[in-house]
Amino acid sequence: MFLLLLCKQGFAQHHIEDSIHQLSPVEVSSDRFSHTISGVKIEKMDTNSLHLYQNASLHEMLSQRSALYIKSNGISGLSSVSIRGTGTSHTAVLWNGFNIQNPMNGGMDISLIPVNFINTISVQYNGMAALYGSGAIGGAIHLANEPEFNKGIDISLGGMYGSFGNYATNIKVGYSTKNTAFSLKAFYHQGKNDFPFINTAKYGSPKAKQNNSALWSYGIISDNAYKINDKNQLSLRIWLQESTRQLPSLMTQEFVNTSQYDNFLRSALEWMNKGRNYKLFVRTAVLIDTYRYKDSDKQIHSASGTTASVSESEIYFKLFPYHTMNVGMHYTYTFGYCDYYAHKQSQQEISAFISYSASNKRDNWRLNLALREEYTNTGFVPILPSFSMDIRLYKELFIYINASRNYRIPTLNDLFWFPGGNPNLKPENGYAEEIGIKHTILWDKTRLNYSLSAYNNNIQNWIVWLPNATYWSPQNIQSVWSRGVEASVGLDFPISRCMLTLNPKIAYVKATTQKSNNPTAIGHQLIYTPELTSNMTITASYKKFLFSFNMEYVSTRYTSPDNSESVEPYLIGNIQATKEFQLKHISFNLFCNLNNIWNTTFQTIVWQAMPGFNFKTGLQINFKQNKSPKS
Amino acid sequence: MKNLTSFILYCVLFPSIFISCKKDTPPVVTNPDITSDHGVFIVNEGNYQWSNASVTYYNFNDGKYAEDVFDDVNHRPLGDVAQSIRVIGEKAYIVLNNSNKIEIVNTKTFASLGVISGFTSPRYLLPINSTKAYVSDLYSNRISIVDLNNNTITGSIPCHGSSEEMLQINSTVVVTNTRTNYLYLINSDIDAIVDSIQLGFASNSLALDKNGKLWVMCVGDATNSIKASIHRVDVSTKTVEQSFQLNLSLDIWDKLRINATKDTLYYMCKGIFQMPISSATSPIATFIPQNTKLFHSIAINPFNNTIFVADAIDYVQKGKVYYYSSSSGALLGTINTGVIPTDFYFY
Repeated sequence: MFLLLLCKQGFAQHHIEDSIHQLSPVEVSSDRFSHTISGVKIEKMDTNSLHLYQNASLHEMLSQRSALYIKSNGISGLSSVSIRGTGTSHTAVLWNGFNIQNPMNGGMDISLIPVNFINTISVQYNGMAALYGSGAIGGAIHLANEPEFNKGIDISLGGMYGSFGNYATNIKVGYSTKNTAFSLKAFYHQGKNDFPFINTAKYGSPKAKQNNSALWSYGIISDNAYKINDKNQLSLRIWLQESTRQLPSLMTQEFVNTSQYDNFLRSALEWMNKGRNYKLFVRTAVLIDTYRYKDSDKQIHSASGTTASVSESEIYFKLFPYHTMNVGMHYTYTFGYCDYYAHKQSQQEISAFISYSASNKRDNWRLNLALREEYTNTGFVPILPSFSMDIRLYKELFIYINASRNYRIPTLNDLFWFPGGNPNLKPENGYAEEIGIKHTILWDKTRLNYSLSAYNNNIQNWIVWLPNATYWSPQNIQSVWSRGVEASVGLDFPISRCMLTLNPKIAYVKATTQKSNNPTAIGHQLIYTPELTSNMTITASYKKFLFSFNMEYVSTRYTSPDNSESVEPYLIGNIQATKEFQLKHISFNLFCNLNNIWNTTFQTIVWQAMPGFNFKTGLQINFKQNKSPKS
Repeated sequence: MKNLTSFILYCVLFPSIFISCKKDTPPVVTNPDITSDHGVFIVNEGNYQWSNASVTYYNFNDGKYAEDVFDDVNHRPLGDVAQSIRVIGEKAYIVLNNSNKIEIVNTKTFASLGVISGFTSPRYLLPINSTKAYVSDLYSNRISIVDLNNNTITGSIPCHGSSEEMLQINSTVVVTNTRTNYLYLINSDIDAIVDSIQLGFASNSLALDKNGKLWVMCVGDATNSIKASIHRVDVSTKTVEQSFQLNLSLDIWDKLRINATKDTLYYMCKGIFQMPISSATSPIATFIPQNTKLFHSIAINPFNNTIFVADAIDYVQKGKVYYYSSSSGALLGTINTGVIPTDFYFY
């Protein structure tokens, strides 16, 4: 369904934008993403997916439901996402507009994001850094928690049991009135993850069990909003999570004794003030991350952490009907400590941005022009423009185009690692362009959507760590050219009382090194970047029964820069099913996720074993009492 | 409706279409003729956690070559971070540091013969007699005793961690240590450290000259400004007879090697240095300058004294081995290797 989504999303945005113009009192959406987006490819996870993956992590959901490639260190290990041939540090992850990428290495471990903690999950392709700032080179993942008013009491309790000693439990308490929305969610998860596999890397290919792969994790998230009056709204969000993971051994290792501890506290406060022709946001966040790495055999214990303070204010105002201006300022102060920094280090980013959105009365076109200027420790970042536009060709057939200049500022490790950190690094930067079409056709109860896109992305000053005397040091040395095509189709149709949805997707990317210190890499595909990824999902819903079958295909990934080494392609099948029973205000939701149903042997990282067939099953009990019918 | 059904069928089947058009893997290199009389095995470390350690084979007589002979023959990866190779009879023992194991192969066919596992971070294997070997270890506070008949660890000798290269002189085994100022002496009859000799900080490599004197390279500690040094030791009297401070730079000095006639030492610090054992001072100029290469290791071919130098290039791309004349220092040839060539076995 999310294929369609792409198209649907386009329309949804049109509605949102319309509501900005009208400044309807129910419109509460607050991030720049939903306000300014047009002419860009978006994949929004639909409600069926959110429902079917409510006990999964974002890693599991995106690898099965999008054509993104996700590299993971084993069953519970660190997982990083790659959009259009760029790396994890080139994918901004924005939680209600705040970038939560790790300031030390620019990465983001999406296995630490529980799907049920987030209300809206969207993947946006191509950077549009003028709108979203540093890190959005390949694209961005938008995680939003929009408050829902007037929903009364909403309590849910769930338990999950899965293969390889996995147990999880979650609770949600929500209460909202006309002016107040309160929600608290918590989870606990533990897993042994000692799955069996045949170790073909070892002498005699013995049967083996994955060792050192256990996980303990818990988290709490609270989303709260209060409408002071018709013009003012406050919202407060707090997300606390702690996890301890053993880092699994490779198939080529006898054993390891390593573990990683991650802890974060993310809190964000936002004030929205709106008038007849404007909307003003003032928001601030504190993001605190703590990491510990331990290798008992090697007697390595390292600790590091960062604290980022982010402040932003922006205003949207209507110049005249269908023309909106957005002006804002952003400031981030990050400080980090690490055993490998000479002392505590800090980094500042100050930026100003302006964007202009316009459409015509009949909504036959819609465009956004944006500019951002940023100042960091290392000086001014070149001015960043972006342009995006949707044009209606015929009925619901749109063509969309966008072009942007994107950048990523060096991370704390790049700048301050001792020895080797290079304080003179320039930001990575590049230009991205895209053209595509999206089309929706309705026949009676059947709905067909499809989209096609072609893109080009050139990235310069890509930072690479190189050996230099006795230590390694990062340099702005590499250039990468990424280009590709993507297609997706969504088809919804009824067969008697059953609603069927089909979503095939395919993405082809050629991401080659153009300039490098390593001559054997030039002209070759970047490592761990499959040229082809494809997904196919069939979802059937009948009364309160929801069933989904899904396949994910990932082509060969090269593991050496000269492309002489590679990992085999794989095709995996998965099934998700839920059945709901209603008893007055209480609903019982039985769910079952079957992963890797054909027991395929595959690797996302070379010689890191991945589990064969595995399952998760459980029950979610939900109590809802609408205090008052929605006005 | 018929169109719709075929459309659905197409959608269901379409990912499998791509499976069938996957790229063919490159052709497997035909097994090299390892029985030929003169060649070299070059052990390539590979990258930490990438499981791309390998052994490159090159035959000097017929030019036959295999970049990754272990995988070619055994169809599985050698392991993660290869450190060293040692040949005992017809068996080669390849020590895999981050795989915590030693792979055993037949030197004639390179077919896998078994594995010795249970180490923490093994570095070098030293055969003591036909049934017993010692294995030094980077992180463990013990040297493992291995039974060569059934490939198991039968015991261990407690030590101060970070044991590196070892050398046997009669029933005395000399052990270097990269964390202390001492060279440790094991009595191999009783498998215990019986004495130590104080010299420079962090000894890492050893060579025995034609007079039976032991030469020891100590790397020092660049971060604490302790300079590297070379020492000549008489093991029988446990005395340090001569010491050379390596004042040229605070850097990594290692890989002390000796030529076939056991009268000239070689070692490296960026470039390669050549030093006769009779020399009163350590050389100031490099014998083979590094220039733009990244020298990672050296070895002397015992059959003709040529100097083999491993170039790791950037530790990422596949490396090269250059071999030079020991008399003129002229480049004689180049061998393409796997990632980070590090240790050699000549036959």
